[in-house]
Amino acid sequence: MSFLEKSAWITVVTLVIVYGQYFFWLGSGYAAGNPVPLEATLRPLITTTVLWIVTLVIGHAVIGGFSGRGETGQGDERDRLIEMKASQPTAVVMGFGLFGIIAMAYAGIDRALIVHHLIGLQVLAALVEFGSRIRSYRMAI
Amino acid sequence: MGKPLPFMNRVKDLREAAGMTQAELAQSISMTRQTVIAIERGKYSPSLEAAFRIAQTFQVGLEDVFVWTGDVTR
Repeated sequence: MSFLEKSAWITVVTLVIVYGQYFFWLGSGYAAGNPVPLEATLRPLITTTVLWIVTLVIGHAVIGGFSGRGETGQGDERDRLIEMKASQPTAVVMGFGLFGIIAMAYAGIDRALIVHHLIGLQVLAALVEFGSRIRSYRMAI
Repeated sequence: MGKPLPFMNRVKDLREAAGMTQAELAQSISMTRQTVIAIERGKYSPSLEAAFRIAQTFQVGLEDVFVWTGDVTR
């Protein structure tokens, strides 16, 4: 497994775990009929993002230590092709997601829900992008 | 990328004949070992530049490494 494939795995796993906790916390409030006010979500969101960056850095330091000599994160033409292919489904998700969120705004949906959906869309787009890369790497293209 | 490539290659045979490992070949053509594996398995179609670099590494012609097996009209 190349450094870039391990990197994609780490990105997906940390996104799911770290942001999963954040959205579970948000969803619990909505499920209980007592949603957290938008202003009160800012600090947990910043904490979650910092935690995600820290886990990413630690994860990459660990895989860097286990990578073969001379192996870099630069990649080659195949890695660039895989990155390019992964951007296609990501663009579709972003396009439809943004369209849906714009529709929510016009429909007068609560401002907090729109913000949560925007953040969720970013996370989902990243999951699709890195998930697509992993799929291509696993298919050995 | 899912369908078979319209050419076959002799990269693995030439590499083994030259006594090179996949990692050594990868280093000599500035690619990752995973890409060399994908080329040898016929899963990845290298660029023309990479194909020339592979051929030059083994000091053979391009057609000694890559052999067209597909339909030229498609």
